[in-house]
Order: sequence, then structure tokens, then C-alpha cells
Amino acid sequence: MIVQFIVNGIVSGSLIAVMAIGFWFIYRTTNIFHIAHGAVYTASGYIFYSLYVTKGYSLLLSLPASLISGAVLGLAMYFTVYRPLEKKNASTGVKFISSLAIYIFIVNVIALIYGNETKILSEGLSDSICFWDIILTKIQIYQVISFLVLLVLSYLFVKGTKAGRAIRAIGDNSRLFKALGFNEKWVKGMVFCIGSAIAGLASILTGLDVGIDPHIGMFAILNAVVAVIIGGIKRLEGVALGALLIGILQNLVIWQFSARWESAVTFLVLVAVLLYKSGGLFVVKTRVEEL
Amino acid sequence: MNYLLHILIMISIYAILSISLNLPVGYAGLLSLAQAAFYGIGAYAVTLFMMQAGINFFAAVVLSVIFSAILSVFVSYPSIRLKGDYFILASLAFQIIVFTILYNWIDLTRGPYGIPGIPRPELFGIVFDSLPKFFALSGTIAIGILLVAKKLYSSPFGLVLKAIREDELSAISIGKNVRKFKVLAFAISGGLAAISGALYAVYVTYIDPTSFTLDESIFILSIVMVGGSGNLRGPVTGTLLMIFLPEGLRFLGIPDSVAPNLRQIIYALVLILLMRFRPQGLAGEYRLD
Amino acid sequence: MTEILKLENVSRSFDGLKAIDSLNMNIEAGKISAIIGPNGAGKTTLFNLICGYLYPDSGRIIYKDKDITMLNPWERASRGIGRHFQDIRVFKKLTLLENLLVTFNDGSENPFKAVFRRKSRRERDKIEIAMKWLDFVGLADMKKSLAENLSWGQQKLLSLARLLCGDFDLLLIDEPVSGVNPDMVKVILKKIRELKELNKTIIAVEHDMAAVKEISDHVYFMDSGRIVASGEPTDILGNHEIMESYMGLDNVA
Repeated sequence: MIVQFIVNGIVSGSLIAVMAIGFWFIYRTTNIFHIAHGAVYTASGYIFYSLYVTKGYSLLLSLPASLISGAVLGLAMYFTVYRPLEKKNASTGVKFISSLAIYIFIVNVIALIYGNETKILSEGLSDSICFWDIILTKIQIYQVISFLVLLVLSYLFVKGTKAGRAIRAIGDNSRLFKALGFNEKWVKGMVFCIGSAIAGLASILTGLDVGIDPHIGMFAILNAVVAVIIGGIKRLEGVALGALLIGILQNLVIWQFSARWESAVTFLVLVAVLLYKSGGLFVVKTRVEEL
Repeated sequence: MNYLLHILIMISIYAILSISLNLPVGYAGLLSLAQAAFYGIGAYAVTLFMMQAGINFFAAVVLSVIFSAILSVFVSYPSIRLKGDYFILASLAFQIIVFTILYNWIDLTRGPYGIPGIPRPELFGIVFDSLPKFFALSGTIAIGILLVAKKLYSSPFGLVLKAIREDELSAISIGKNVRKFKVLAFAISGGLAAISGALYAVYVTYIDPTSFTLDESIFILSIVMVGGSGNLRGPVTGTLLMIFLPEGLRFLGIPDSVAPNLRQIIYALVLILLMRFRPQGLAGEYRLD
Repeated sequence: MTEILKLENVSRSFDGLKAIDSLNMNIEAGKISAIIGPNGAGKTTLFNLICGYLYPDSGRIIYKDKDITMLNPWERASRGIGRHFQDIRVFKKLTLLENLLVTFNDGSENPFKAVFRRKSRRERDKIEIAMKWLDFVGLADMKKSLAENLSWGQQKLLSLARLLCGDFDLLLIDEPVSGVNPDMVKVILKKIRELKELNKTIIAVEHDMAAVKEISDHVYFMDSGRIVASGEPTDILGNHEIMESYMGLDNVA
């Protein structure tokens, strides 16, 4: 019985991981706490709905079109809101509030256009396979496979390509980055595109399973943020691992207690990790050092 | 007339909330997304004290304020050292944890079913059960808190907080225990938010966790961001604007199905523009950058 | 107690690089000591260690015969260690008077007291004391101005006034006269000398050799995290070897 929950945990962890990888690309490179990433998630899902369900276009057309739309949306967010703030050297608080505001804006526009009810993306129940007492639907298998493929591709991209090196360089040291001759604007724009497209992927993968509504974004981005912080911001593998851990943890909580406590547990873990990383869980002496 | 009184009562409740958040944000320079949690804790604490323990409203408020303030100290003390975004995240985490507890600890809070039939406040035989009477109560308390806040801001305590927000290192160099002051600011903030919660509970006479969500925290923070923080005008301006705005929409004949979304869209846009061009908000003193 | 501050074998590294290397120092109470040396010698790091913004990797710091090595920076300040920063750091959006009033650590910053406060005699006393120090540095008529509206030199004087109002016994002054026009230099140096008469102990980091010669009782020459030479101003400043190695890396008055 517990195995089923662990498997469920791996599945939901995979979805969290996809979202987290997208967020990671952006945060690692630009240091912007892009909460509005959740709005891109929501928006991509709805664009897919309009194309795939309402207009009836094929999956082959709808999926890439939605991902590209998500990328464009993310890019627009960077250039219209974040970049002007970057140029002014705005504080993280200003960027955070702006990001939150973008999220609220987009999500409410979506609600206005589409309404608040859940929209189903795929009709009928998905086929399931059963082995060793574990049930997995086809969709769930696609979710896990997509995550693994994305992880591998992202890893190769970051370690192997020139663009990937640019991402690491800028995240570590902006001045060194400029010295190496990369164009900051383009690299940041690029990660917003990549990250946002990935958010779209997470959204559609989830949506095909459980449908979409205007408020799914917050839940998705928060889980992703917890995964990134638990897993460590520096490394992609950490993020993926963190996400899987969260997925499994949440499902174990559901298994042991009732469904509703898992967010409390998730965020307790987040707080514990935040405190631990900033000098230990029980620190008495504050160090002024980085002021 | 009744409608106007209702609006004024909501303004008094939210004015107290925005003043409560003004201390950590505008004086200690710490953005917090946890205000709705303290708002909710105040509401539930007062309700439970009144209904389970038969305590009079005013005594219940005092107890709730103390409880909320102490909880705030416990939570802020370890979190103070977190930097920027991480502090906001920690506050967000606290908000969600509190909400989850309110929602799931059914034995104590009746979870999503909520607690109906909350009694009205009573003092020396007067029951505050009509709109005018209630407004007299909430208005008086709000004005009282405004005056107290004014005294606080212009006191040596307020000056130290202003200095900390100006230059923390410099404040340390003249012997200020910066952590203590920040935690104090949070404690007062938690206590004041609890008063708002108490008023809300006995006004609406029914509470459930959905009034105290992350969205509500975001709303309260937006009031302080839009109106501005770091002085008295800011939160008051923000409250007036954010409460009157949806009413204005209703006046323009915008249908109720559309109004909530439109309202959020408008204030999100206002926020983005303000952060870009005027980070101290409309009437505030503290610039976020 | 003739030694107000003692550093014993203090070391501090950053990322493997030794910024302060087994440093020993004895500061005599009531004297003005100057620390000179090239950029990167670790002078500001030394100040940060004494004030408590950094903790040493090893060694001890002893102030007024008590070991303060692990003490919080604000506790050190409340015991009398005051700091003037190279980049001044007065509270820009506070008035001059407020800048001084905020230095009082007498328990009046209790929020509960705020509510029941009246313009008590205590408050009037504090304003009087603050005004005395503003007067001492010649800024009394600007008491209601915001600190950010002052010139650089005036802000330095304000910073000194702050140190005085805070009743510190050991003043760490980082570059008292840098970036200041010659008339103001005279004023600041005069004020620092007057501080000695008030029984304050001063350690100053300074690059202006003329200033150093004029006011210091003792000079330390620091390089690469160590005190390379220490003695009378005329000895150190007249020592050609030291001055050459210093001038080779620095522009000296």
C-alpha cells in the first residue's frame, strides 16, 4: 500500500520537478524571484485548452504552440516589468511585489475570459497499467518520462553548451560575465523563454490529468520554490531531487494523515531548510558579516 | 445608510490591519505575507474565548492580542536573520501553515464548516448589535489605534526603527540590538492584527478559514504597498483606496460576476506601476528600494 | 587600567586569504593612535573585528580588561566602542537632532513607554545634551535639516558628534579627513584633539600623513594583515624604508 503512495509521490514529484527546473533556470540566472512563473503555468494551460479543446487542433500543433506562447509571455514579463527594474537597481522586495502583481493580473484576466470552473483538457479516463499492485495511468507515465527527458536535456544544455555556460557565469558573477563577452540582456531573455516554456509543459502535463482552473498556478509555483530551496539553488540535480522528495513527502503525509495536512508539512520543511541554510536551526549569535 | 455604515466598519477593520503591517514593512523594512494569519488567529482566538470560555469580548480581545503577539515573537525571532526574498518566503510559509491548521484542526475550529453564531460584544449592558452601534465601537477602536500608532512613530522607539530601516549597520554601531527591535515591531504587528480579527469575528458573527488565506495576506500587503508605508498617511490612504475602489466599480454598474476579477486586475496594475515609478506608494515615506 | 584595548594573536581569513595575521596590539587609554598602511593592508577589517561586525578565526580581543571576542556588535557598542565609518553612514533621512537623539540607550526606546510619554524633563535633558554636541561640532543651527543635505565634511562632523553623544570611550575613526577641504580638515583635527581632553581614546585610520603627524601620539604601520612597525609619529613617519614601501603603493600627502 505504501508503495502506491511512493509511486504517486514520484509522479507528483516529477511534475513539481518540471516546474522547478523552469523556475531554477530563471532564478539561477537572473536572481529574480519570479512568482509570476505560476501565471505562465496557468496561462499556458489555458492557451492549450483553447487550441486543443475549443478549437480542436491536434496535439502536435497545440502543444508546441502553447509552449511557445508561454515562452513569449515569460519574455514579455521580463522586458516590460523586470528589466526596467533591473536597470534601476531595484531591491528584491520591489521585484517580488511586482512579480506577485503580475501573477494577480494574469490570473484574473484568465478568470475573466474563461470563468472560474475547472476545465477538462482530455476527455475520458486515461488507460492505466497495473504491475506489482501498483496502478499507474498512461498520463502519469508520460509525466515521469517527460520529467526525465527534460532533466537530461537541461543538464546537457547547462553543462555542454556555450549558452549553458553563460547561464552559470551570470548566475555566479555578473561582472565576470560581462567580461567574457556575453550579452546580459539576451541571456536573461533566453532563460525566461526556456523557463516559461517548461512551465507550460508542466501545466499541460498536469492539466491533461486533472484539468485546469485559474488558481492552479500558485500551488504549482510554491511547490517548485520549495523544491528549489530544499534541493539547493546551485545545482540542477539538487532541484530535481528536492522536487521528488517533496512529492514523496506529500504523498506519505496523505497516506498517513488525511489529504489536507501536506501543505503544512511541506512548508514546515521549507522553513526548517531556510533556517538551517542561514546558519543553523538554533542560532543564538547573529552574524552581521554580509552587511 | 446601512451600506455606508458597513463600508465604514470595513474601513476601520482594514485600517487597523494596514497599520499593523506598517510597522514591519515601513519601519523594519521587512515584507511579510503572514498578516492574514494573525488576523485569523485573532478572529478565532476571540471567538473561542467568548464561546468556549464565556469570556467577555473585551477581555477576550486582550487575551488574543497577547497570544498573537507572543506567537509573533516565536515566529519572527528565528526568521529575522533571513535575507530579503527568503524572509518573505518564510512569512508565506507561516501563513500557509496557519491556514492549514485552521482548516484541518476540526475539533478546535470546525475547519471549513466555520463557527457561526458568534455573539456581539457587550459592555456595561450595551450590546453592540446594530450597525451604528458597531461602527461606534470599531471606529473608536480604529481611531484609538491610529493615535497610538502616531505616538509610537514619533517616539524614541519609532526613531530607532527608522534608523534601522535607514542603515542597519549604523544603528548597530550606536548600540542598538537590531534583532530585538525588529521582533518587537512584529510583536506589536501581530497584536494589532488580532484586534482586527476580533472586530471582524463579532461583526460578521461567522468565521471560517477562507477569510484568512494567502490571498488575504497579499491583499493586506498590497494596501500597504499602494498606500505607502513608514508613516501614518500611507496605510490610511491605502485602506481608503482599496476599500472604495470595488465600491466605485459597483457604482459604475459593473456586474458582480465580473467585479472581483476586475478589481484585482486594477490593483495589480496599480501595484506594478507604483513599484516601477513610485516605490514609496501613493502617500508613504519608506521606499522599498 | 592604562590599556583600554588589547588584541592577542588575532587572525581572520576570507576564502583562504589571511586578511589579519596573528595581530597583536595594545592601545593606551586616553591617547590618539593612528593606523597607516597601504590599501588592502586590513585596516578596515581590523576595525570590523574590534567592533564585532566580524569574528576572528583565532585570538582574543580584550576591552577594559574583559574578553569581548565573542560579544555581539551592539553589546560592544553599548560598552563604549564607537565607530565612524569610511563612508560616514549617518542616518540620511533623519534630521541632525534625530541623528544624535537616537544614540541614547537609556531604555526610552521601549515601545510601551512611547504610549504614555509626555514631553518629560528627561526628554528635554536629552535634547539639551544632543544640542551641546551639535554645537561642539558647529552644526547647531542646522539641527532640523536632514542629514542628507549636509556636505561631506559636515556629515563627518555629524558623525563625530554622534560618537560623542553616544558617550563612547573608545572611538574608531576610519579616515576622519579624507575627501574634505583643507579648512574643514583643520576643524575636524581640532575637534579630535579636543576629544582627547574629554578622556576619549581614539584609533584613527588615515592616509593623510600631515594629519597623522599633527594629532597622533602613536602610529602603527600595517601591511598584509600585520603590524609591521609601531612607535612615535616622528619615528615612523621619518623612517624612509617604511614610507617608501607605503608610497610605492599609495598616494600620500
